[in-house]
Amino acid sequence: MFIEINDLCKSYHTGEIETVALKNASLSLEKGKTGVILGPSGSGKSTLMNILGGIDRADSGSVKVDGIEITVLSDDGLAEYRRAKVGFIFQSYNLIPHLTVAENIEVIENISKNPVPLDEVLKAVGISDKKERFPRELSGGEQQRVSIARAIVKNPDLLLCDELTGALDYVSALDVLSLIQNISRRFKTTVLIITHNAAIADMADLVWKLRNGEVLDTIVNNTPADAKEIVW
Amino acid sequence: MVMKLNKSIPRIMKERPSVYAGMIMLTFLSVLMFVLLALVAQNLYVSKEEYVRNNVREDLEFTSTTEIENSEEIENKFALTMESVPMTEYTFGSKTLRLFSASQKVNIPAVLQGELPQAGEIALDPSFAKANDYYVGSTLEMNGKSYTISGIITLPNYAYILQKQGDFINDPTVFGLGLLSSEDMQESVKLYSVKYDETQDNIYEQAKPLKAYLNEQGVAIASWDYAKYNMKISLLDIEVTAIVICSALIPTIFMLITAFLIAIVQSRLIKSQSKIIGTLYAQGYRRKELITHYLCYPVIIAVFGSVLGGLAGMAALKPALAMMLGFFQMPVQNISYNPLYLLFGTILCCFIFSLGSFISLKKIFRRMPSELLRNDGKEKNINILERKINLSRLPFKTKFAVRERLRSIPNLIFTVIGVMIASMFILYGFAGDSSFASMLNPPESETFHHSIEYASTTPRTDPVPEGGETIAAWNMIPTKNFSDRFQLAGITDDAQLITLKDRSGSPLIVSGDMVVISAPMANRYGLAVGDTLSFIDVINDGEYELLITDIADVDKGDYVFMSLDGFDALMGWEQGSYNAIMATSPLELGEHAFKTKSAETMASDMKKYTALMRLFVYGICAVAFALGIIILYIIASISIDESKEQISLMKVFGYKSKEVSSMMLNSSRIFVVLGYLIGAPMGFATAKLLFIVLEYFDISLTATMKPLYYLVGFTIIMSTFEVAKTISTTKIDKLTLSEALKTQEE
Ligand SMILES: Nc1ncnc2c1ncn2[C@@H]1O[C@H](COP(=O)(O)OP(=O)(O)OP(=O)(O)O)[C@@H](O)[C@H]1O
Ligand SMILES: [Mg+2]
Repeated sequence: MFIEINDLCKSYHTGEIETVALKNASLSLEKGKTGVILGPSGSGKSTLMNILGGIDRADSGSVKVDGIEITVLSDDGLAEYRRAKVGFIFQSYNLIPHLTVAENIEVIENISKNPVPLDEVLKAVGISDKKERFPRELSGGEQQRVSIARAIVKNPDLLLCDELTGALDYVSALDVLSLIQNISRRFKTTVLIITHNAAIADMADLVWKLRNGEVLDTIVNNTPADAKEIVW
Repeated sequence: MVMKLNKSIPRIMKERPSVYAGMIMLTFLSVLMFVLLALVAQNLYVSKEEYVRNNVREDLEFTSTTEIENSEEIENKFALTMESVPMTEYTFGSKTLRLFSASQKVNIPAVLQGELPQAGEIALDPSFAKANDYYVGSTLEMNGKSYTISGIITLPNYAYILQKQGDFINDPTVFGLGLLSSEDMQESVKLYSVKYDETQDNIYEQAKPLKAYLNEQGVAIASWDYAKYNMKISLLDIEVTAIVICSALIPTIFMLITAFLIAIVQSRLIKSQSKIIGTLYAQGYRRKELITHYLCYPVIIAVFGSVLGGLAGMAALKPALAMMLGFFQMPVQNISYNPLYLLFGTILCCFIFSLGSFISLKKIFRRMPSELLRNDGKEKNINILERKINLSRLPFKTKFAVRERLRSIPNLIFTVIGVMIASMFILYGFAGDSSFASMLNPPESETFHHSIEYASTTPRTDPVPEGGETIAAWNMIPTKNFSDRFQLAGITDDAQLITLKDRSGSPLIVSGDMVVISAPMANRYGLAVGDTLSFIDVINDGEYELLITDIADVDKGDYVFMSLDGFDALMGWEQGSYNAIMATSPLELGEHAFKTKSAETMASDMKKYTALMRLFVYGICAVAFALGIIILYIIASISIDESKEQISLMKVFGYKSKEVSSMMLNSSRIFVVLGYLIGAPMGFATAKLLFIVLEYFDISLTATMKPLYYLVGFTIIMSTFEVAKTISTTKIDKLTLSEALKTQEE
């Protein structure tokens, strides 16, 4: 298994209030496959993804990625893990405001071992003509594409997408989804998509339903649909 | 690896030009001052030491009409070098030149320009030459003879030119020094200059055997002066020491304070970047790489500001030295541009600035990237104050303003500290000016009530005209503190112009065997009633002891008062002798034997005497003032920049610009006031520190502050803040709302 998550628990403390974000969540996914985590707002999707991506820590449980137990890694170890394996597409795009589109992508290309050529990435996300603009000169959807480009330029083994299509119209959303699917197919990238849009589950090999921090259901989809064919 | 990331550095700097340019300017100024003063001090000190050594400055000098035949024997017997040169004075027109022939062994003249005089030539000191428009090659008519000026020279025993002991300043248009060839020197006295092979600290004791021996040999000694107590020599040492200390102390303190402030600013700027840092960290950047990148900012500012500042300081060195040398007669052979100071300033700034960023980064990396991504570095946690303070009864706008301030306690502390430092610098500048003004126009003294003093060089007994009051005064040196001096004064028991009070405030009439010591002097030496004070008169070689009977409450100065009769008896003067007359209005004395010192001439003399010191202090104060203003501007820009998003949001909700800015910004005013209230007295205290150092100048400068200045300082602080606010607000206004909101999303 490429991803193996077992009995993952995480809760947040704000003052005296405890919020349980994850309760014994377990899931696994093979290399090159696409997984979708479905769940309503506040169900712990982002929390799960953050821990898997090595940007947050769990309270207990184990997370193995490509054979590495990441819960025991030090901060620097996690940084190395992210650098080597993980590409993030954040719910909020988190672009660097003072760098142009191209530079925002190059910043990550810079630290990657075998990056995808910049022009190819720009073309893939369809913003070649805007590469000299600054983030604030782009629409929300365009910013989203830059953030995707930034995640795929390093050609990561694991691509984590949080609320990928939330800000996009139907057509753009399909574009982006098929883009992700193509990348996964072409580079054997393992992809994890977080969404509360059940329709997107159609393109996944595996779907987990999350509620109140618990994995309620795991659905295996032997014939994932082509992203272009998804309807909602 | 040239990181693409570094491309954002110039862009981020351009986005907040006032803050970054301000920080560079601050660095520039403080390093400039540091490097310049350090170099001035180093060059003055080294030149002085070289001058004293190479030109063999004397330990003591005496004049005699007798030719000493066995000087070689004396030199061997007392382990010293002694040389005699003929000395005479020529008066022509209103000018007087004191003439010597060039010595070879002790007090060797330094030739600044041209060369030493041959027959028919003369060399002049630079001040006299400059004041009277003589230059090398021009001629000087003196007593019917014409001399060609062969050169400009200085003499080690006249580093500060004074016509006679006891003078304060010299007017170079009427008095100067000249060197003639020995052929041209006529009828003259002999000036003997003595340099011991090993000079001891207590030159008075060291020279005793020599003096006794000369007396024994029947050498008629007309005058006898120790270099240490001879202002024309010692002032150079005193002032160079003071400059060295001031230059080491004050600019370093300034540099540390500005560096500290910049470190805080840096750490705030880093904090505001924490979301970007989080993004990069999450995407696989290593901590080390991010730290390296973010340390570029402080390093760029430090290197840019301090290298430019250091170079500017070096460029200013030559004119600054020339200005300083206008007050002394001293050659500066090779100006040293020691690059170590620039290096030190740069490294220090790099280090302290980076430290601020580094601490901030360390804090950031203590959190997980997911947290950083959620948080844009601004305090979103609700702090205790916010929870606890009940605002519900206040009107909304006030409530909002209070909330706004309380939301970010660090921001608040930052404003207060920044304004405090700025106020300190500005008030420091004012204290310098105010204190000099009060020194030149001293407030009414509780002790001395005269406005004119007529001083005689010899004791006299003739009656004094109506309105005059006699006093006898003499400079003495305490035996135990050989570098200090105090004034011993004999006053009459009916004295009106000097009135003394004891510590409880009741009047003290000095009579009989009373010996009254001023309170400052008693404190300095830890003397009490019943103690014995021993002291020396180095001019006449007298050694005395007095039993202290009272202590007088005098605001400043080291004085010992006794009755006039007691004084005369002690000094061996005829009973009733005095050497000065005090008065409140001019007297008809009809004679020229008196030197008049009125309040006005004293003030103007004081002005000239302290010119160098004032130049120095005013220079430092001007820089302090500039630093204060820049700091204020940075503080204001940052605190407004940090409210930018909030302001945009409020405007989106429908508030008008004016309403928002008054709600957001006016509340900061009270903290500006608070900063001023803390900083102003601190500035005054720093000034006091400088003046303690300045006591090396042999003038006690009391730190005073005109109340008006507190007001002016306050006005400057407030108006600078308002200006900065207006500029920043206009900047925010220019931002379209949609853009502002997008910034927020990022
Ligand atoms: N830093 C935090 N402090 C306290 N509680 C938190 C924190 N982050 C998340 N939570 C809580 O944990 C739970 C899970 O949050 P999470 O962000 O994982 O939800 P999500 O499924 O991604 O929701 P959404 O679809 O709205 O993005 C929520 O109840 C949330 O309120
Ligand atoms: Mg989420």
